[in-house]
Amino acid sequence: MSAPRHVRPLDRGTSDAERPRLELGPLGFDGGAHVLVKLALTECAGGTEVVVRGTHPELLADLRAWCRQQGHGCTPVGPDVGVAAVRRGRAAGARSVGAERAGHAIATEPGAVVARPPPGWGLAPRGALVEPGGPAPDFRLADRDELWTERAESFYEQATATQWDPAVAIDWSQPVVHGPAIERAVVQVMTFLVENEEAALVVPARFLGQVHPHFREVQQVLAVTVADEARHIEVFTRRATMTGYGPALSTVGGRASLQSLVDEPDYATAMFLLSVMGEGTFLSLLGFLERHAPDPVTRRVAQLTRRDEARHVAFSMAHLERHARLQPDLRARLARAVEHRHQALQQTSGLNDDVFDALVLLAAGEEDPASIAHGWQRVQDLQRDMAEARQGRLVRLGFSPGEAETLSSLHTRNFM
Amino acid sequence: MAHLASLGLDPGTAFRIRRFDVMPTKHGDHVGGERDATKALVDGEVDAACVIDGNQLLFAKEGTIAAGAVRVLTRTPPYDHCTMTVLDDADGAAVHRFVELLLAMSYEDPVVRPLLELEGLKAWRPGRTSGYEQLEAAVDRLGFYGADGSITAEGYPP
Repeated sequence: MSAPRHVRPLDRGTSDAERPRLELGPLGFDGGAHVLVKLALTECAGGTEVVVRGTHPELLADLRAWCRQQGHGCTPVGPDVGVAAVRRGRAAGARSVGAERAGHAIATEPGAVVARPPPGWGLAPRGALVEPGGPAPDFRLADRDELWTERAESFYEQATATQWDPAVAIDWSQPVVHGPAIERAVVQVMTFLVENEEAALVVPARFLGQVHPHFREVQQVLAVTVADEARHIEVFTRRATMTGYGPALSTVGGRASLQSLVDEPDYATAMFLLSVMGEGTFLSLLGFLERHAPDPVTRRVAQLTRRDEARHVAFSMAHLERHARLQPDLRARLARAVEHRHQALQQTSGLNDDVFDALVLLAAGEEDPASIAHGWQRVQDLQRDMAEARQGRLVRLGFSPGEAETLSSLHTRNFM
Repeated sequence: MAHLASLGLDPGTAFRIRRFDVMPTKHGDHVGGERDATKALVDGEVDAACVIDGNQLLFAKEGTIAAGAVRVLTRTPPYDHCTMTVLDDADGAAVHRFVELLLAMSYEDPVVRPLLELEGLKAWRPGRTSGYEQLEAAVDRLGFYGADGSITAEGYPP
């Protein structure tokens, strides 16, 4: 083994010519000398002694104490040679004995992401050398087939690159010139959006803590999704309150529909219902608001939140497409979940009437009959667009067009 | 104290003693007492502090002692201070087995490594009494224990 840069062979002609030496100068153990001794011993592994030299008055005594603690041998040597010769003890490398490499940090490397990371890897970074023993936390989501997608990293990169600051990205000073009835409609829709985004925050947040850290990129996407939703809640609330009307009605039916998402214990099912069915439907709704909202602040809020939601939907689609390919019975499970949710919500009133009417008013922009008729038609178009887009996503997940149409029709009338 | 006395500095006469007892039922072996003593030294409340060498390294590492802030006045020779002891009438086979198990504990074994770390050890060594001569002479000299084994040291709360 070649000598490290700070460890030099002794001068030729001495009896210690074969032993590398470490020159510490005035550095003592009260100033970090052990770091260099440790480094020298690591680099000179294999039973080689390192002769330590230095001028600190307590060097020998401190070196002996440190070696005793660390399990190294320490033999004083003559003053012409140095202070002491140190032999690396077995304990120094003990943590590596039986240690296991936890895949590879770079997900695209062969074998980087294992099928079922053991609980004992715990919080260790993927790719780290994991000392055996220690806690074995029960991360419930630890099956690659059930949560992984090779695209997670790129979704996370997109997310971090497109984060926006509500205070900067939206000009809140732009005027609202429409009348009180239209403004109350905007406030009602914002109220509806806030409670939906609450569900969209809580669902991924609940699963986030259950994902084995081996699937780092999935954790990161879920984390940034939660941050996105927190921002969405902020901007919808701010829009709802900026004209002094305050949040409007929150109905039992709306909250019951959302609660069924929050209560879903299965990750794939919850993300399917939330992202593919719910947020996917919301893409249409936010697009509608971007086009038809009566004021520029609302249009901008819808535009920005829609971009984030599109990424959330794409992430869940990528995950579920892979999952369904590997586990073909997944589709039947998802279909049952839609049917079950439909039955559970049958007794509720579905979409808040006030929200539906608010969408008509908002799209009308005026309160005269002709405008209302126009707004009505736009909401009909919106509902058709929602259903068609939902069916398209279901077909992409492998459902037949007929199944997709049926399942889409069973989706909650509350949109999310 | 006995070491200082052997150097001609009689406790109570050549210097005054300030105790830093933390959890004294551990017979002064708690690191907190030595840390308090070191802080008092660094703060100038006392002129010197008695600490074991391992703790001095620890206090330097954790920042209690800045590099070069203190110097070592004297050191005792090395002595043993922690051991497993048994009474004379203990079952010999059980003692033998116990020693066998302790000596078999390897720091490379992830199951037992945390146990060794609790005691600050890398390995157990066979027992010996020779490392206690210095301590034995010191407690006798200072009258730490009475004839019946009770603690008789002045100012030391049992």
